[in-house]
Amino acid sequence: MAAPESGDGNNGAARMVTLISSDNTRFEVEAAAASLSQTLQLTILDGGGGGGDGIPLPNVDSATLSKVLEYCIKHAPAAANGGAPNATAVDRAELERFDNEFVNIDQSVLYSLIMAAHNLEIEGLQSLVAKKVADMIKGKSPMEIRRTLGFPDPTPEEQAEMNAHMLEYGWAYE
Amino acid sequence: MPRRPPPLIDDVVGEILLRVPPDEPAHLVRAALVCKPWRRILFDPAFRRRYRAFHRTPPLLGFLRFEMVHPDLKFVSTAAASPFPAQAHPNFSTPAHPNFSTPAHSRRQWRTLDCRHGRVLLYSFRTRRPGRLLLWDPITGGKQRFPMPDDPSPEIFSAAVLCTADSCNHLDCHGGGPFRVVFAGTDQDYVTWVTEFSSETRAWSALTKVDFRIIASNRVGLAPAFDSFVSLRPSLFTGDAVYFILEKEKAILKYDLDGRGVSVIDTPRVYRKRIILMTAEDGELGFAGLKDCDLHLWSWKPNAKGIPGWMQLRVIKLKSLLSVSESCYSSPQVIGFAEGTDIIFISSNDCIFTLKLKSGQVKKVGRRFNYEAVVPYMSFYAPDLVGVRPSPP
Repeated sequence: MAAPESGDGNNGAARMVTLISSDNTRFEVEAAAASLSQTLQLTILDGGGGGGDGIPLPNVDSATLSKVLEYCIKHAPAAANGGAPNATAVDRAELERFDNEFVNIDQSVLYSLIMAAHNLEIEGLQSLVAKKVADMIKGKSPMEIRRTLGFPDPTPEEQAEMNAHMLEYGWAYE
Repeated sequence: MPRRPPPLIDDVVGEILLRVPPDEPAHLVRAALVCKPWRRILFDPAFRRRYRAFHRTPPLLGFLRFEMVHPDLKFVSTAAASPFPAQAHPNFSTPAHPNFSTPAHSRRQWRTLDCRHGRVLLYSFRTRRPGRLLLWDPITGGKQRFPMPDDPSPEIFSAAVLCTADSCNHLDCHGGGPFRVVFAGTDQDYVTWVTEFSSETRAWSALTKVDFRIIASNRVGLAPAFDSFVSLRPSLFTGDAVYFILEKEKAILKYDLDGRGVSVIDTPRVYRKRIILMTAEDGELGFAGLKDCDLHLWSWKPNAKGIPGWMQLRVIKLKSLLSVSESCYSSPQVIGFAEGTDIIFISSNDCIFTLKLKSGQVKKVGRRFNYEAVVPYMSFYAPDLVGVRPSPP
């Protein structure tokens, strides 16, 4: 494998790192993109992830990791600009369009994604997905929210508690 | 077969719930009923502080009428599901607000004078002094009465209620805390005066008087007419001052909250219809006026030489915005502004609309009924305030 040596990466080509998903798929990605994750950034600053080693991510499967990296690669240039204060309106609009498309995905992927964003500490991705899930639950009843999020059906005890509270908050169900 | 999603840990649920918008109180209430862990998060005071800080300004939940002739405390909700009964009234008891009932106060006729920082200021012509003013917190049900300023007796007036709690960010003010009420009135001799009530001293301050006859005779060019008077329109609080509209010439009375000084600001005299005070986009004093079907937004700001003057910021064509219904855009009036937001209230022949200035979004929120103006009510609504608390985990 021709991955560059770990080091300061100042020799022209962008420094690459390898990430390994829970199902053992290897992803090679620019260090700048992977560094959107606060967790990975520390490892990478320590010189990890280069060469044949790779950084194992036992909590993230390959489908989720490939989504995570798609986000990181798109957002890395703006993040390198320090939140892109000098980005053009066109750039910002393009990122916004990308974000909207990006979360337009199957719910189960969204949940894996938000957990991965949380574990890897990718703030922008976490808030993007959290906003999407918040929008999904905001018009729904407690039972609909449970179903949307794949909760098991409530136990009789939980159901009784829900009913009692729903009675108390009748106005919220008109 | 669809994959069962992974369980969401509390931190992640918190991030999601944080982003549920505050303008529909029912959304968080329903979320609170999903399961115990969610309730625990939503009832956690630290979460609620974070939630308020995240959304920054209390959302508009509804409005009351600023109406002198027909007292009516109808609370008109701007949310689809409202925690307040349609006949919100400090005397009414409702299941959601068991604290409301106070028989001693029944039969009184209260009118809405102002609303700010979680409190509604009401007054009554009918009840005897002391206690013609009533401060009411619609969420907690808390209320307290205090007298009107009684000497001289105002013929016509407006008022502003403000929270005065130390270092309060005004995101979660409620009726129990310290407050001041600034009261501006005009007496029979066209002398306008301002006085303020402090909840700490329980007394009104000495009057600060403005005699328009003197101002009018000393000024060249535009000056308020000698018979100007405080308009029956809602006040505005921004910066370190509160503002009141003066009739008949359109001018604005400024009361400096620190120095307690009073000054008068003229407005461009191009509007036949009544204007509404608002904060401009940069937080400075502004007003909205209507010319035909065009809404003009003005800001009072210094020019290049540092001399303050009126600057027209925007013109919004209402005709295209309100075209949802033919009958709705005829004879529009601007009747309110929700402080801290970008929402303006417009009334027309038979409808009341909110208009979000940034997005241009228009929403029909009620039917018109001889509104002088509206007093918008803004507050965060936390699910536990009305008594249901989660059982211990």
